[in-house]
Amino acid sequence: MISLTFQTLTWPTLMAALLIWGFAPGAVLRVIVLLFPKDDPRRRELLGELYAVPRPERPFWVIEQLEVGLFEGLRHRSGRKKAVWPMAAPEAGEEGLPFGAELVVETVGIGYRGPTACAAAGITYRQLDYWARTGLVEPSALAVQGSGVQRLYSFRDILVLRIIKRLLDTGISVKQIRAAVAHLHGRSTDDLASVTLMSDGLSVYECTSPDEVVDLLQGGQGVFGLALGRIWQEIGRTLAELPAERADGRRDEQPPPSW
Amino acid sequence: MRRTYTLVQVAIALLDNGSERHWGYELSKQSGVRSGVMYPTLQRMLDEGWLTDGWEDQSPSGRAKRPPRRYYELTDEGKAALGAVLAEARRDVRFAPLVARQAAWGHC
Repeated sequence: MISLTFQTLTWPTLMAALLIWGFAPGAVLRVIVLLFPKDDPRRRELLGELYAVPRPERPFWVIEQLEVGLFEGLRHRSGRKKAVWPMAAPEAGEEGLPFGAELVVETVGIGYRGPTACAAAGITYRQLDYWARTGLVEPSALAVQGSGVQRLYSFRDILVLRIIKRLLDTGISVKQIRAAVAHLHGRSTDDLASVTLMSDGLSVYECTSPDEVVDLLQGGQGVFGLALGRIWQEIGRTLAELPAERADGRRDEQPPPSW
Repeated sequence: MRRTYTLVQVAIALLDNGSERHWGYELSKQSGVRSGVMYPTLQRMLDEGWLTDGWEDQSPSGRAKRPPRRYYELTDEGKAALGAVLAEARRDVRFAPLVARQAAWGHC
């Protein structure tokens, strides 16, 4: 045992380890950030932060990031796979379908995997994952895959994701957004296209006719508007170029991006 | 988010100078939260809409060798939410030492 330790811990290796860790923590950190998913801003953030840390503290700071990288970075990577591959099949009739059954029929079995939904809605995978876990938007389309059922994001889910993203960008509170989304859940998908969401930065209002928009503007309550029909078209165009999954488990033309 | 000790610590640090840009490392120094816990907490606050983030401008410093740093700013929603967290913490015995320290800061 002791001889083994001595063999691996010879002077040259010890010196090399000390040199790399002590004098080039940046190089070590660059390897560590690779643990985070590719689009994760933490990769760039940590590299930038290193230079704010006083030199003597850097090696210890880098070790902490290794810990976070191992637990968070890898969890998100594996979480991503879990979202892509079949999960436990929800029982029929259970609350597995947040938008009601008619939606699954509407999307005719076409659904999109998490990464595709992110790309189309312009959000990060973290946001998608977080919103799904907190019940804001959950994948509502089901696709049969092998022996299991896979949950996918329907067109409507992605529309809602995009709406949330736009509202968040304008500084609306998550509480208000949750209320607005809950309200939109009650609408049929066709109705949604004719809705314009107006906001004064605090509350969200739903307008279904130009008159209502004008009324709100005159009352000073509409500062910014989101025409859902337009977002609808945008997403339709984006999704046309991205891979979709079919209910019968066959893949459309291109394979989805591998993660 | 769950009302954890860390959350209260971060809330105090963020609200201490509410209008400015916050930097991850300085926040962890100020609040005493390990950086390994700080960045994930900030990420959760971003997801929650309490913070917005941005990247520092590179040009004025002229030291192009250094990668840009990410900063965080409190949103109005965040100020309200963290204010509520603090108000709750004041009534909780667990957080008494933290809140007492914050009151001391408030005087200087």
